[in-house]
Amino acid sequence: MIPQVAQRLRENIQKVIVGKDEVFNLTLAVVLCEGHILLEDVPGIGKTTLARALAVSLGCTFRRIQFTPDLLPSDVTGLSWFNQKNQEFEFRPGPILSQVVLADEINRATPRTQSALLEAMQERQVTVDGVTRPLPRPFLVMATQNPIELEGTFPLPEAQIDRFLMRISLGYPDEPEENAILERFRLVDPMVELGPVTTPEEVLKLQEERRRVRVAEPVREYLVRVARATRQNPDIELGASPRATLSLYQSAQAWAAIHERDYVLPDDVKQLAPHVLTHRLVLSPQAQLRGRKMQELVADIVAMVPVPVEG
Amino acid sequence: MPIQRWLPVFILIFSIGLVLHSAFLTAFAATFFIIISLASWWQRHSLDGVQYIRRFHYTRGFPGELTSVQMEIENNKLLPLSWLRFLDPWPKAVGPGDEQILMSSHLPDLGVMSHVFSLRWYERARRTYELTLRRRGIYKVGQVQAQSGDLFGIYELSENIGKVDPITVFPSLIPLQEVALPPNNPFGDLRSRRRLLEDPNFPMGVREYHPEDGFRRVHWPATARTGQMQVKVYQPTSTQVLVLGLNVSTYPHYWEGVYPALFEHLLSMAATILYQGIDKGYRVGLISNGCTANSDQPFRIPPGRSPDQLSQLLSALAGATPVVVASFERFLMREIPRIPFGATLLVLTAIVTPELAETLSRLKKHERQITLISLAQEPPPDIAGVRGYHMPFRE
Repeated sequence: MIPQVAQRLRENIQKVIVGKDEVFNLTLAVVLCEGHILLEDVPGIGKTTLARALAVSLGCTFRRIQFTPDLLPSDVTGLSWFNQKNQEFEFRPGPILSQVVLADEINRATPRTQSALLEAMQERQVTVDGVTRPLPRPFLVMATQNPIELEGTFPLPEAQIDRFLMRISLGYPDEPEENAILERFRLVDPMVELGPVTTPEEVLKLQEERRRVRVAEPVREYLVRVARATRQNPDIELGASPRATLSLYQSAQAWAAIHERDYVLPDDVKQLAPHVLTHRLVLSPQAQLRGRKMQELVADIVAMVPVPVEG
Repeated sequence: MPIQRWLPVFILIFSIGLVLHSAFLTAFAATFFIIISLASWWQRHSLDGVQYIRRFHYTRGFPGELTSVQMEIENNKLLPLSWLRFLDPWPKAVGPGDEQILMSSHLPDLGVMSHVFSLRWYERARRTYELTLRRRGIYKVGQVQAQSGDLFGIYELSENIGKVDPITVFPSLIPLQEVALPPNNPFGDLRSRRRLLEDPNFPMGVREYHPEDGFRRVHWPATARTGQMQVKVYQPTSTQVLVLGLNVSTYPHYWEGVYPALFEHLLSMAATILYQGIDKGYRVGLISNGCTANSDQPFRIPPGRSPDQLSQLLSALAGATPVVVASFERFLMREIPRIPFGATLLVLTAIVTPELAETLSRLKKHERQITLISLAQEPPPDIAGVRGYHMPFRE
């Protein structure tokens, strides 16, 4: 069922987003894993449009939070206020109690507000005034940050970065794609006409289906070896956590399912490792000074770890 | 020779063969024509889909360090290549540890790395070399000249492919014990780390209202939401800022030329100070009256806290040339408004002229902390309000 729904979603989202097949597949993989996405790219690339189009296509509720330095945790989670008419406290839910949440420019908020997202992202619940409230399912946080600006920002701590299943960069469109964007948006905004092509209930079923994708023991061991190799590389100060290994495992299952397979190949692991691992790793200062790039480093690690072969 | 030029020869031999009823001549002409045609076609397509990629372990480093490069060559097509040669121009200053690997070229500092392969269809080959970073500078490796030809060795094709890769060799760092700066206060007086001033352009959060807070600081939406008075908290502006002003002149007059050893020592000293500044948590910037290669403008890097700041500073020094584009005194006067208020300006120079001393005393009026490090043989004059260090250069 996953490939069929994936195709419907792809066709729908591509009414708004031109090209970017791989980005779409990665985003869908995150949805199937019940994970969260960190979209890191320059402004104007289509990050918000992608989040909105995905929410509409999934038939989910969507809220956007513009992170600013004076944003309070209660602006994210919601708060209890005293209703003088009923003489009772009432809970006013914050934007986090939606199914798809776009946390725009997440690194502009203070660490205190950023950490308000932590419980929501990991535990899928929020606690306000001592009362714990579960979040609606499916639940997806798509956070964006601009990699260029550093002044006036609060870099996400490693603990929070680790909670994002993947970091995705959309990248600039190529020339035909950019022409197609101009043509598509010439008369009408296609987002207005976009409708749902699936339901939240169906998405939950797909998430269950993803869990049934088989990962053979040699492939699983290969995946673990890739993750462990990041902890032994001298150029890496902080290697992949066990949560990163689990994320890579789940992502590989989702990737296989999207590509109409019920088993994972080592190639799936190779394909996904840069997206799942790079943002969680920390380069050593000496490697950074000497021009080492994390993407190249992960590519080297993946190339060095022997791939399991048949027989 | 192009196939078109062979054509009359084939036709002539073929015609003679037909006239003389010589099966040998006819067959010879036909076979030769087929071979030449095939060779010509092979040559035209021999470099299609050929990739040459250099993968450096590190692209930047200090003199004396080792790094490695892996060349990955791929033939992405069905046509096999009986021979494939790459001539890769390679600066000797960042060449392989074994200097014999590089062939000589028409330039004394440039060698050529030559590789010859024989690749089948969709075959990939890799070669790894250990490189030694020998001398400061920014070097360009490439573009590589690829050469190949047909199976019979009749035709040859040559093309420039791949990209140019830069390798940066920073100035060498001087051991701290050789730099006679006081370890507890190396860059002169420091500004307080206390949050004396705040930047209203950068709010960094909210907190509860205190009686001493002004009403302009009240965050009304937050107050309304929480039911308690909340005020905005701004980022402090008391980050310690250090700007290094580097005078690249090695003689008082430009027409006296350049003292290369002193110039390199100046750059090493500058690199050491910048490295120390970043290490001690300063926001460090660099201004200089010198210029980098392929530029006629003085270089300036504003103070920043980006993780790449140190590599940018050291890369600027790696590419620095001894060409002086402005008098240092006038350059400092022009640059001082751009230096953040309250920053420490550290002037590093190999010559201290009376004009420079006067300029530094005038700069004090601009409310910057100024420290002078002189590498000249004679000690610098006492300048009121300017802390001076004397570290004469010895070759």
